[in-house]
Amino acid sequence: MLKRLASEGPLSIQTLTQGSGVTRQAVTKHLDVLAHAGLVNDRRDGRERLFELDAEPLARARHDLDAISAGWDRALERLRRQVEE
Amino acid sequence: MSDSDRIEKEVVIRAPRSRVWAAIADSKEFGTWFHCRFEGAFEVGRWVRAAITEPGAEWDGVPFVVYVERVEPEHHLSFRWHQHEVDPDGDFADEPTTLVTFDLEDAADGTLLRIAESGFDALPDGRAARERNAGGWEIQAQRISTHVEGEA
Repeated sequence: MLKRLASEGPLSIQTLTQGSGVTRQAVTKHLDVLAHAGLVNDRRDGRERLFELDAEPLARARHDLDAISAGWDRALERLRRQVEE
Repeated sequence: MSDSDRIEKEVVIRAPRSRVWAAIADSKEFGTWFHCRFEGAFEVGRWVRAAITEPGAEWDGVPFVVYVERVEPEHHLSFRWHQHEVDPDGDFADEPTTLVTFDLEDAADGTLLRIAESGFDALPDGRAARERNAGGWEIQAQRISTHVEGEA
């Protein structure tokens, strides 16, 4: 579902249900979970509720992992120097 | 497993495997390059208490604990630790952890060291936990860069 929202943009529950092989209720429940986790946002467009990906948490998680990764780089460089001395 | 779950590093160190192993498996030596101080040796199946050593930094002395999973002399060491702050006197055994592994093998001009940290995807509220950790790393990075430039 996240993949579809990422590639197709804001989608309605109806569109997300079509071709998903699961019920509208299941899709709605899943969307609620994702919204609660801050991964998707919803807005009203006339009679429809449209859901779209909130890219920020994913981007931030990526950024955080990059920071941890960079931390390992620095620690390893200190290890290398310590051992090669 | 997605690429958000795991960090992998590889480095060739120009030293014999026994020397590299000592720098990792001896908790005191580990602390020298990692900038922390352990209260005991790495023993399989035991939690070891530690504290960050970054004099002058806001997080200097911040406690943490590692659980030693596996030790195979001169080949492999792995431990688990938390991505969020835990109370070393509290009940942290069931708190979610990431796994850190060190693997050593001989290379043409020294020792190939592989490090991996995994389990980020399985952390509940992983984002917030990572932010705390990443915040520390980033501030640390700034400090190191200031320190190094100050010496130059």
